[in-house]
Amino acid sequence: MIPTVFSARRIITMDPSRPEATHVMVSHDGRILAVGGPEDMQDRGELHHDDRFADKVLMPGFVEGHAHMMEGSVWRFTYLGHYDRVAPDGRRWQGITSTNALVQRLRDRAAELGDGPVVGWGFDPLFVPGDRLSRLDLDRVSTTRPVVVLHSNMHLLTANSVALDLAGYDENTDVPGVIHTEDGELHGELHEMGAMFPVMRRVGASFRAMGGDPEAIWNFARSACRAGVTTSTDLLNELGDEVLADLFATTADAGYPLRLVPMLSALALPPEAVAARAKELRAQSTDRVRLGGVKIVTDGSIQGFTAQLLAPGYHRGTDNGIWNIAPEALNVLVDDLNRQGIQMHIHVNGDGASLAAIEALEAALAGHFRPDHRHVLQHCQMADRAQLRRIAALQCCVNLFANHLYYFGDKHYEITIGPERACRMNPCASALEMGIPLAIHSDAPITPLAPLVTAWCAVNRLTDSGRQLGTSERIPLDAALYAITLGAAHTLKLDAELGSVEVGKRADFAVLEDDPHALGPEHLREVRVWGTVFGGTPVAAGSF
Amino acid sequence: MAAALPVNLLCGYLGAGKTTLLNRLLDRQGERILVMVNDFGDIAVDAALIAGRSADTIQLSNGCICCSMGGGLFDAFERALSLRDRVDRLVIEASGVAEPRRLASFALAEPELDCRAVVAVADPQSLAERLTDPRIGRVAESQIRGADAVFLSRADIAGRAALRRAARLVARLNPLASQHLAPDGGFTQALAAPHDGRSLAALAPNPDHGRLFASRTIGLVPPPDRQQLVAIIDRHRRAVHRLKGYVLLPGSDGPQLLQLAGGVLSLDPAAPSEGMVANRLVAISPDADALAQLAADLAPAPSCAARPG
Repeated sequence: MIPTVFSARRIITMDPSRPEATHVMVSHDGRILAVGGPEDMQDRGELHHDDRFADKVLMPGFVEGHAHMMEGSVWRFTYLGHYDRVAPDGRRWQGITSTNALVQRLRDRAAELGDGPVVGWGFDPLFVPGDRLSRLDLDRVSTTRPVVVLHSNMHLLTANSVALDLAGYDENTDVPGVIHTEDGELHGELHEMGAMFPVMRRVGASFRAMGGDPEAIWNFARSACRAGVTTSTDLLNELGDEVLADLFATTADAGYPLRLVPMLSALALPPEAVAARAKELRAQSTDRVRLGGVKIVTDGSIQGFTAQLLAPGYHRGTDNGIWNIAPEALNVLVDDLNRQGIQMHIHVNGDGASLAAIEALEAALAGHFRPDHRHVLQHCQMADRAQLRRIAALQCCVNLFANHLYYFGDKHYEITIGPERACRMNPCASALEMGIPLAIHSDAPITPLAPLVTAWCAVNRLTDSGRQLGTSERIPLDAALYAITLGAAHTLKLDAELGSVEVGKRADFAVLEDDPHALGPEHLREVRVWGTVFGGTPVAAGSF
Repeated sequence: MAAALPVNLLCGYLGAGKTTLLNRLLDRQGERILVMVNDFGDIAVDAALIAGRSADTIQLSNGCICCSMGGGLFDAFERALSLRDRVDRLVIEASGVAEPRRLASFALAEPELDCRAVVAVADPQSLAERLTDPRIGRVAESQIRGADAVFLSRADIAGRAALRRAARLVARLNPLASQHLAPDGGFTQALAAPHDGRSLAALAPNPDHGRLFASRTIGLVPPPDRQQLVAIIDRHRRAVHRLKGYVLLPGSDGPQLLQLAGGVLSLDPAAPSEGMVANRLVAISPDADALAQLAADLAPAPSCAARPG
């Protein structure tokens, strides 16, 4: 088989021994054979030359260290979010800025579908001026078909009269979470899962419908390719037999261009069964499905007021902090998984949760130290420098939620945690200063899957309104590019295999129209992505 | 369509004794119980303990699905509903850190489910410590406050003093809940009762809203006679959302349970449960003045001060 040499305007390798190149030679089975200039490609026998990227910039394929497969499935519903957003099929959806625009979009969608329920997602009433979206607005979409709008936080929905009627709700319903207007009529808004469940199950919008069927797995790869991503986590998966079978079968297709790293949900199994299951899964890994890691969810979210916060707690609003696992049970689980050599990804949003995880890891690692364990604190948005010092001492990694700075930063500053803590949240610079291995993430579909945007967030720390949150926690452009490639690969224990353009590694590249260094830190998010090279094969965005 | 499926919810912190109680319920004959276990994050191996019984068991992943974005809870309820024809009752063993109202709201909202008593299981020896724990105290409290019935476990080994202390703690947090020490006839009755959607915790699910409701304990000293009592309460039945307590009235044979809910007053023979004292009523209303008026009418003598919920 003849190797291929790709030439490019510039290759940013992320390999300090050869930071830049213009040519990369790739074997027929998708490995990098040589990196350098044209002179380095000579005397290698017969070569196939591919110059289609001669005016483009190559980087290592981006690694998304914290996203969800739901990015691939939620688009079966109609997007109603505030920010413009691109669907897996490439369609650009404009942000919704008024109730009329929302009604019109759902009407169009209803016409497109012909019959049956109309479901929207991603709606955030705080961004829409005027009266809060109600049943009556959605009755303008249809008075014969159920219409349901899921809010962006997934804790609320608004339903039209038909949908409410399906669930048996009327003005006499006295159920927590079923909201009435001042004059006693149904408002249409339903709060929390209990009240939402009867409606969602009757319109086919259950969370099961947002799982990882083959179409969702393909869509996830479509979104990834548009963003230059060649490896992505699916950071919480119960990994039942049916799901696994779909994953293996779908990704086995020769044209499937994404390495998936699903994390087993530790809370889906009895605690003593988790390690054994993780090992069993690890043994089933393929080159496109990497198994063996475990995810533990501790608290909720900051913007949902369900994160566990230390004093002084939330700036405004009511503390509804939740534990998904009791701190004592966390200690036992973390100790067992560490002892058995399982890498853990621990979801901690609030500083109360990160403290609980740090304490659990301290106890576990004191009892059984494992060199290079790479346990990762995920999100870890509110850890202060004292917590970071303990994380550094434990030799853990952090994967910080840099996108929050832009997408939720104003809310954090004004409402959830106040100016001081908002300005030090997602402390990328402090983490690097302390030598903590750093990744940054999108948590797609919570925010868009786009590592260059995530890197822009970490570099500039600007909110939607243009406020800068914590100038001293900004990181340099190169540090951010490292975080979305080798940094993220490190947190997945895949850094020996991907994350940089080096001989022996997989030929997974992000193909960029613009040079990030030429556009500069402030314009990083404007870098256009052509697509990817996956295992040596070029894959244009939108081509599959 | 089959009748709605009755649901009981068992909650309580780690090690409270939920699984032991559940197994004792399953040991009984005559009822086909479907068990939903939401306890895998816990230390106890609940699925294994329950295995081998006649009950069907649905394994439910832990946690707030909304935050984890998994489908566990939705799926579990769907599966429970699909088994409606084969079972008489669904018992949910909640995770140690579950707030009862979050789970109960499913059973309250879904027309195909019939929300019966929410039971909090508490270990008398560790309850006080749990309630003051800075990390989980709030959850432990919400479990007691959200319950219709509180089961104090290990009554056989807990000392009398510990039991009394626990009973008092529970009564202070949730004066409306019945208290039980054994899964006896009284407990069975409590299980079958509908979930009280008008308890303070249900009316005021979060502390902010809690300020909208006042509760007041009113001592009947001396107790009025029955006719007088009914007449006074009748004048207040619109303004007072809830009134409950055991009364021992002059001329009556024995203690009675007095309840006012939804404007309907009932008086039934019953013995006060542990931790409750006869002739002390607990009243709840959004209107503190209404409570003061009721207290003045019922007991000219000074009563306990009103306190916010």
